[in-house]
Amino acid sequence: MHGRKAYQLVKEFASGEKGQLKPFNRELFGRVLEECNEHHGALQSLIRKMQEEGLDVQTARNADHYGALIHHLSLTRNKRCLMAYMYNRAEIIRVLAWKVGLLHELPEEIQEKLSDSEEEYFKDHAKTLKSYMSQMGLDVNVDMVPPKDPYIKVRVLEDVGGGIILSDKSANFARHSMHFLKRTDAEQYIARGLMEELTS
Amino acid sequence: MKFSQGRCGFGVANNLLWLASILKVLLVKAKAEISLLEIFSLEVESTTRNFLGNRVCAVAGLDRRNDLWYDHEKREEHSKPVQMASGAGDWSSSPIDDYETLISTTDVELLKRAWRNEKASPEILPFQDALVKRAKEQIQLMEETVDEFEESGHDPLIVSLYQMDLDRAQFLLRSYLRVRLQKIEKFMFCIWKNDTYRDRLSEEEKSFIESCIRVIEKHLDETVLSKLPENYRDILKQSAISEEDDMVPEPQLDTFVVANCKRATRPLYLDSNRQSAVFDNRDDYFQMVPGDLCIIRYKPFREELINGNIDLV
Repeated sequence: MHGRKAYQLVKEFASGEKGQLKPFNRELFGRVLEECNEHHGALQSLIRKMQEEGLDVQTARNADHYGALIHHLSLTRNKRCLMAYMYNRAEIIRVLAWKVGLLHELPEEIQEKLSDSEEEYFKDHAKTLKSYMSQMGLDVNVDMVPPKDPYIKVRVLEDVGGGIILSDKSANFARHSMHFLKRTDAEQYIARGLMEELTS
Repeated sequence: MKFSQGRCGFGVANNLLWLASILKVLLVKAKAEISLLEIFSLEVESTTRNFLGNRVCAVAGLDRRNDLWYDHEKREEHSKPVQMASGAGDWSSSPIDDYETLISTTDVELLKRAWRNEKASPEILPFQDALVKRAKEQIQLMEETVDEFEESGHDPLIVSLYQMDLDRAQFLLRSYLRVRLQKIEKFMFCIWKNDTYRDRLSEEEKSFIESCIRVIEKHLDETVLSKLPENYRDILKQSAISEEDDMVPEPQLDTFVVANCKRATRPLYLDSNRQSAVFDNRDDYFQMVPGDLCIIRYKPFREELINGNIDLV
């Protein structure tokens, strides 16, 4: 049926949890594209038929005209669905770029869900943001939550060892150890999931 | 000059030993008072003033004077009464009243207002170029001050108060820029093809949006458009026979916002189908007067917001 597959595609996106991606549905996506081309073929053959009958395509209002119109509308509908699918996914990718922090790669679980072009898009978009920040001379990707206190308490989740450089001193950041750090120092590790903030 | 004033202020503060102990109590209390919304230390100061009465005001006054967040023209004016008051050790109420009116024109307050408006409005607002520039300069100055204090071994408590002030200022600036960027990302096509919107961007944002569009065009072209029949490949139009761009996500201007009135607005029809310029005798138009807090539809009031007659909350 006309437009059914494209509808399924969009429906699948919409049923996902908000702000989270489902794996890119390559198969269905390809089928909708095929359907578009089928519609186009049918549309052209109808127009050709009308021309052969010597009718003016612009003004004639016979059965073939309306058939062609239906094909045209189905095609634009499919296009809108495909675009909506890609565009909304791209929107989520942008949000992820903000969340994960631009200097880092996406976690593997998420990367698996993206198509090649989407991975490329993530990288390109991150580049765009980075060049904005270097123009402004200001990193807008830190301070994501309003600061309450210059110091926060954190727990180390992954073994980070001595790789951490603090502005004033260094300490042993063994796994599960707890520290009282400057918020600015700890923030990047929290964003990458290496530490968590303890709130009491 | 500002710095020397500040340091001399601190000299006085250090001499008064009792002040230090009060300040400690005050910090603890003030911290408890700070909620997420009150992200500015000036608010901390006003809270502390309420807590401990006039004498502590002198401390807050010294602090404030050193604070680099004053409107340039008014700073001079303001610092005089503070100096006199702290010198005399007594604090009349008039400088406080001045302070209240003054505070609404400081850069912090302006930036806060710009930030709130930007957060609440559905469309992009004019970029506050001069304000952002000043804020950046002031943040840099504050960073230098904090570094200097840290090196010269000032009381760590005072240093951390300054650090907190600095952190909040930085958050505000970054958040302002961030909110704008996210809005630009969301409505990039709409902003780019509309001249009014485009003129509201800063230079950096313009190159950002260009690059954004280039990247997403490439992405969509690779995945969808290049695989469609020829007449259906435009990114903004559904097909070649569409007369205008009919595939552009646009901000929802009919959404509701909470607005606070500063100056009386023009009388406006809330019904967007009617021209606000032409009035008949029927009285179904609406006018906000100063002090009003209303939940309104954004669209009829967008001009008023840009003219600064209302603030969004």
